[in-house]
Amino acid sequence: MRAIELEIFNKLFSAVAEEMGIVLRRSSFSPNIRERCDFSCAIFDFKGELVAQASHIPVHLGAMPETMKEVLPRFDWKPGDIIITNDPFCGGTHLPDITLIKPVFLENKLAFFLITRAHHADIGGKFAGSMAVSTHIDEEGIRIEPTYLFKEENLEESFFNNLLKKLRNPQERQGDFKAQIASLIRGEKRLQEMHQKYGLEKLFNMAEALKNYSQKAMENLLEKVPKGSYEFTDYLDDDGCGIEDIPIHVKVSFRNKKVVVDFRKSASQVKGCVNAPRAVTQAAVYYVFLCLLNTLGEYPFNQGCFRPIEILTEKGTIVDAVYPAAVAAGNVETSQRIVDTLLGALSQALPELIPAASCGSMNNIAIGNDNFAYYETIGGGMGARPGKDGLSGVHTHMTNTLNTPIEALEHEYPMLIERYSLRKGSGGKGKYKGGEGLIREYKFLCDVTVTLLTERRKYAPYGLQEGEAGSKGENWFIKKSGEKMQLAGKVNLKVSLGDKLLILTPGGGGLGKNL
Amino acid sequence: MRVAIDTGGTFTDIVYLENNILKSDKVFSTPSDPSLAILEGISRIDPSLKIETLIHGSTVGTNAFLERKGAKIAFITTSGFEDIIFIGRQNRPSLYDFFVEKPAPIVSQENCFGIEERINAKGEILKPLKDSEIQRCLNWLKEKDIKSVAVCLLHSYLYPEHEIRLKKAFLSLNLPISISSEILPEFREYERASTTAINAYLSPVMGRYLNRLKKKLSNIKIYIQQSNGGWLTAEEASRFACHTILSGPAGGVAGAYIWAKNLEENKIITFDMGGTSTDVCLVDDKIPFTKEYMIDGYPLSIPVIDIHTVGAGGGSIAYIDTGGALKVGPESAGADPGPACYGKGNKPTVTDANLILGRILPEAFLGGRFSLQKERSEKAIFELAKKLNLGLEETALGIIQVANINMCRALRKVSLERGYDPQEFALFCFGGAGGLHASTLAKELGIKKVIIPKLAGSFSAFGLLVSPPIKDFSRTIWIKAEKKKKLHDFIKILTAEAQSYIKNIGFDPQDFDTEIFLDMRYKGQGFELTIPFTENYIDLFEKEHLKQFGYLSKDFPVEVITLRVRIRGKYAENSWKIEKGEEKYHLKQTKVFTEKGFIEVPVIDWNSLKIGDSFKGPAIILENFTTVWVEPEFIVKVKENYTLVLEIL
Repeated sequence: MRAIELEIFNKLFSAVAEEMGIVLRRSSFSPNIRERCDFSCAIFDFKGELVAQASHIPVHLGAMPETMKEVLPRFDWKPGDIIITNDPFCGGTHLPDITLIKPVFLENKLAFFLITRAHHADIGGKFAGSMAVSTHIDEEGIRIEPTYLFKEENLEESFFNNLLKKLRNPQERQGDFKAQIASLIRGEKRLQEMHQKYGLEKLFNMAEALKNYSQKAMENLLEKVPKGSYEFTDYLDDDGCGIEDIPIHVKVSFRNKKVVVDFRKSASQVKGCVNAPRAVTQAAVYYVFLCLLNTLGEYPFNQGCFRPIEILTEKGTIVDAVYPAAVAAGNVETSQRIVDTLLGALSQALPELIPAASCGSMNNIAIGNDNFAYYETIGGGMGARPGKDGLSGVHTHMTNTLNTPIEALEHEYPMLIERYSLRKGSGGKGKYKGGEGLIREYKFLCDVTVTLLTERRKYAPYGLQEGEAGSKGENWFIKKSGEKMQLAGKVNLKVSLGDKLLILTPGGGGLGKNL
Repeated sequence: MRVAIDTGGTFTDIVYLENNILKSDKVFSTPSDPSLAILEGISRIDPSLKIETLIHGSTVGTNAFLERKGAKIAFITTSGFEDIIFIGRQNRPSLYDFFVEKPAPIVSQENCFGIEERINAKGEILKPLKDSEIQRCLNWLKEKDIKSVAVCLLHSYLYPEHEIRLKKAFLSLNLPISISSEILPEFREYERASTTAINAYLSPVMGRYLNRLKKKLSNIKIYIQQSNGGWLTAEEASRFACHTILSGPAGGVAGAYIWAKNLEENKIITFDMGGTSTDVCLVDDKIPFTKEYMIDGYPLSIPVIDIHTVGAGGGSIAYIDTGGALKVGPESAGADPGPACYGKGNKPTVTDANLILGRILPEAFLGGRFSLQKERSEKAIFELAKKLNLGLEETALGIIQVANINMCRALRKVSLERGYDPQEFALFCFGGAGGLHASTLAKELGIKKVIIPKLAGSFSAFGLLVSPPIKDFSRTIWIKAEKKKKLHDFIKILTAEAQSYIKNIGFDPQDFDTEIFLDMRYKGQGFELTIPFTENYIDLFEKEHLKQFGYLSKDFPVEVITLRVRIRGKYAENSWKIEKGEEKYHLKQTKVFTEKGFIEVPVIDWNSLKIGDSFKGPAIILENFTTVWVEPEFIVKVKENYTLVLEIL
């Protein structure tokens, strides 16, 4: 009966995680959560191992096992506890991503943990929205080391009130926290119902069986990779604070049913905000291997998938940043480059499965003044795949957030979008073409400050198997007078009424020789 | 006389009233030309009954879309935004997938045209549309080999004049022209563009089909069911073809709503299980609508009955994946080749599993017109059983359990996940395969009552027969909710427009009721709630917001984004009953495999039951087009019109 039960329990566990996500989205306030779906939910077992997740944001989900590993041993867990953290140096991603963890007790035993992670619209710090060119973690907002939000059902009121005081729009934040808690409570209720129906032993056995099943699948995948080591280096353009050409290096070694992913030769952490905490690096690696697993079939994503993967990083590097590194863009930009680097290495081992480099940037744009704050990301070209062109004008790899309708944007904010189109000819040529990037042109109807956090303005997304690279991205500032100047990839900028900003996002790399 | 015909993937269902008695029939569908099955169905009706009206649920539009066999279209939009249909919301449909694809296009990039003009978010002209520009576009169109035109300009929902001028200029092309301010005068450019393009894509196909049908049925007036649960004239259906996408399923929900009302049941979850998919819809005293419907990756943002579909049906194929788990669907054997027992295919399906378990009787399928081949099912499932190292029946039961968990998921999605407790609802079951699974699913979800109408096998067609005509009108007005005077003015204007429209297409407005709804939200939110308009609409909005999201935001101003006017016919067929049919099945006992092994189960002919009868499960209840499997935990009560009500003991 195992084959049947595996499928049934896989569906049951993942339904719980999905329902948690729906509750969170429906009851939250931040546009980031509600509209752009920048949140994730998952179930872990009492050992701190991932049992099930809902497909949300890859950069969140892959980071959660690291969070559990850090948080689990720190507390004497009791029913009714809820732990809160956003600490990038303790399994977090970047400060706006706030994680809540609730233990679930069944038959008086610690049985499972539920986690929700959501990108809040603000977490304090120097800049509204907590996404700017920064140089110290403290500038980016409040760092919450893992601590009690609830202790045995009781809210830690003084902590919570102090926290809210430090945030912009505390009322909205409080709403988002309520939504996260509601989601945990819903998840707990569903696990209790499952327990009533199947009993604790069965739940544990099936959680274990699911992990083993996924582990076996991942091992099958790894076994198929030609044994050996594969190396690759890719570069971040710069850190926005004067440090350029930042290398990320990986050596991937396949041994019997195991893979070691070694980033220890990557650059030291830098002054600007492109440093990635280890959890982000781990998320990027897991993302890549889950995509590969997906080529074999539809498997449950859980800890079993990760067991055969060993990740080596050195503390204090760009891929394992330590205090007081600024990390705001590590999550959104460096995570993409880590994927590119790993894919570059894997393309040598698995040329039939690995796509050329995608856009490689989330093209983050924050616009605001005293009256409003607006943040969006722009997609780009997807790298060509073996046998297929890359998709055009999409978010790739570590994110999948939606755009804001132009008619909504223009109604609510003092700007016009003058152009939103595919950037024709930006995809790398090749037997299979890279996807096209996007062009987005903003005209401002009042004075505002603009922050750009963008990448692949200097190092183009690479092609594979003699395919050409995709076009680099470009940021242009067009003054009302018509004067046009090219901007750096990462910049804080004051613009006036009538000025325009033109963003050209990178195309994807091509694959195979263009005939 | 009125006849309703619903074209499905496998069967075409016919329901009509003969002297207030409901009659139903079923013929095999003819996908290459659906009208053939319609003609066959009509030919089986007593010719002395003069058919005046046909209400038709059609899949022509849906199939043309899914198979991308719509017309070659041109897409005209504001210059700078030519690619909006290709960019969409800039997300990819699946996350962990290097080989992910966007949905297949419905227009080619070289057939998209950017026209120089611009309206702003206040409806003011920033750049006027010049006549020379219209001429340039017309010349471009003349060069193109296209069959239909879609126009969607930015902010046209506020200022439609530019689109209207283009439409007038394009009339000389003698092609169907779909302009977004007519199709969906609401904000959100991608959703509006997509809906308009879908309409342009399907209009010529629908028009051709309905013209053909009209020629063949020249004495019959033809009406088409729309996705909003009401019907309109064939001419309207050709012009607004995008409204026919969920034609049949919408009929099913509309029918269930009315049938349940007669039983004084206001809270139901409809469960419509067919050959390839299962549709579910939660009705809490009113039929729910959504504006976020997606068809094959494209938003269709007109009001559509909020039906959730999963790819699990009688034809869903079971297989073992590379990791050794048993999967069922979403791939389906469909009608052709169909389940292995139909005699053509070899792949094991849910229907084959039901046959092995003894829940379907091979000789009772389709009123005995078509005999199932059990040995073929055995052969197909035996292959799986070998790999799983399980017995034949255990494997078949596993297939049913996995299929049920998929359907359970759908039922949870429309209930629990939206804050409704399924235990407060009755499961209203129809569709050819629904009765085999309903009591098991009810048990799984703690649902206490299952309702199965006698017409379960052709229920969508019944729904068409009793649905009213409906036409929806809307306009994005985007005003502060407290501006009552302004709101009333808008309501007056749109209501008058709606009434004159319905008059122009040949109806008497006296026969129609007008319903008004407001899409409202707190300023800055991304989604609207649709609230029925009354004088205290702001309170109602807050109440609904609290219910759905669990909080209020008193500090934020409330906005009315879109105004909706629905014109609904007062007429609905309401005086009908079902007559006891002829007893056919004489097998009294059979063996059914359950978790506890084989058990003896009585076989009951539905036509042998009397209103008021009551008996305990387990049981198999047979009717021409439906088989009901009653789990042992249920008691069966026969209610009016021979409706089966299964209640948990």
